Amino acid sequence: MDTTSEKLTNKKYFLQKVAKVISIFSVIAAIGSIGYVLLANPSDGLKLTFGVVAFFFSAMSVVLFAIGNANLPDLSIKLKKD
Amino acid sequence: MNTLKYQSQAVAKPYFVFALILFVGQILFGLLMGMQYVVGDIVGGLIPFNVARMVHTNLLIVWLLFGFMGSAYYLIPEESETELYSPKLAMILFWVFAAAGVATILGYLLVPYSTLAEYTFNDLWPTMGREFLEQPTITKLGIVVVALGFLFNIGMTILKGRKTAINMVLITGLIGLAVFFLFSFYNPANLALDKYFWWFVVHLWVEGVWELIMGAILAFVLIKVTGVDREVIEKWLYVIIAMALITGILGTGHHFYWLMTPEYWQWVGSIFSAMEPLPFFAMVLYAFNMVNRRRREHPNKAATLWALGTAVMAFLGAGVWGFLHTLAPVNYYTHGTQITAAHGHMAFYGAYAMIVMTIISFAMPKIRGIGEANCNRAQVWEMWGFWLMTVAMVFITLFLTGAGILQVWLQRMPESGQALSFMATQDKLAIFYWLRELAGVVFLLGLVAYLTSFFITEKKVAA
Repeated sequence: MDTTSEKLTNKKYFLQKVAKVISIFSVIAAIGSIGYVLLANPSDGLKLTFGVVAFFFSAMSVVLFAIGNANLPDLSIKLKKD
Repeated sequence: MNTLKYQSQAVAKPYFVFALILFVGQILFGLLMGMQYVVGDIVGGLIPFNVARMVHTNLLIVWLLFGFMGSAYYLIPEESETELYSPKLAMILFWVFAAAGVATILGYLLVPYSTLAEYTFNDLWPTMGREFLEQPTITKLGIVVVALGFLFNIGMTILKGRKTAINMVLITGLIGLAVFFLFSFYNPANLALDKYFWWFVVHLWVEGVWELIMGAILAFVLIKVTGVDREVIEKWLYVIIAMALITGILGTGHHFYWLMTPEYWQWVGSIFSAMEPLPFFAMVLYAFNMVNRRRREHPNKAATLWALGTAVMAFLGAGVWGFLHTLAPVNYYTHGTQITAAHGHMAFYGAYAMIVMTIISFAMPKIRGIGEANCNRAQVWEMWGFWLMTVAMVFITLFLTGAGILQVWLQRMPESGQALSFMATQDKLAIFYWLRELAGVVFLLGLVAYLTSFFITEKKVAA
């Protein structure tokens, strides 16, 4: 099915590496937020806030992890000098 | 060289070209308004702020509609494996819609809005004067006629051809678009009731049926550029549209918080709209997953970039920035501030402007007879356009978010009469508005680079 002679690459690009690092921080933030709600017994307002924060960072971590781990094609184009 | 699978797909070209012309107009009026935010009336009363805003938002809606129609005319013959039912009807409707659109915009610009209402007999059936639905009643009727003709044309094409998940989802979204527009003809005198039904158009378009259109176009392009099996992509598409409808329809409740509706809407709206990022969340996973599993390296790298970019930007703009202020206790403070503007800008660009540019990027080389992809030089210009516009939009969103947070802090949070007035607050936000304008100029440069890519052709080697 290949239509070009280019081979599939398995290179991770700079922005993917950044996405992966942020995904790790997001996991930590999500776990920390859940831990705070469960262990510190905060007020209802804080429970809600940290619940939302946990939801947000969980979703972010999954998305960023998927982006960081994807085997993306090389989208750069090298122009030949005329 | 003819590179189209079905000749009737070529009717998409005028739709795409006209959409991009309107897009330029939208950005120019956006920049004008951006300046009016900080220096006031800079065009000597020729174009008041409210008119510029109306033109900016109406051009956005109309160019996206042209883009969706062009996408359908390109995509449906290929999916249905048959020629379009009537290319002639598609062209007639193009000219009708284009003429109505241009006349309406000229009407906004050349005569006072109240005079336009008088000229177009708004008294007979008053529908004007509402945000985004400012079009004269006669234009709205024209839109209905165009939509019916368009649906008939693509509906008949699907009926005589192959039925796939993609063209069924697309036509469902387009039928929904037409049906929900009918609420624009209902204009009750009670303002709360008016807003209630106004959201049936605005919300159920952008957070409902438009997501189906976006999902279908993205699925089509992903099948083409990745070579992944249709079955895999279609399964994702079903999940995404189910999530979009489940969360989006009841998510309308986040607009009912402060409309004198029963209090349960604050719970319904908060819970379901908090789940509204899920389809966009799934869309990022799906796009990256499909590209990850690709079975080919498509030569149209720009189209692949747009496809991945739209998934990410839609997730950020519609998903994350929507979630930011959707819960009722948060929205109590943020409602109608610059945080809403930040969300609106990135969501419209990420989800809808980018998906239209994705299919334009994929389809135009074929429609223009170039082949699977533009030449490398044109693709480089296009990708510069992508990055400049996208990064500029990220900054526009961040600056508007900064302005919104400060606005909430100064205008909404203080109690006991200490809050600043709306206009006094606006003065304090000037730095953010200047930075937003700067980012807007970069966006325009990106758009120029993007448009330039259409005029770059491969240099012929001298014999």
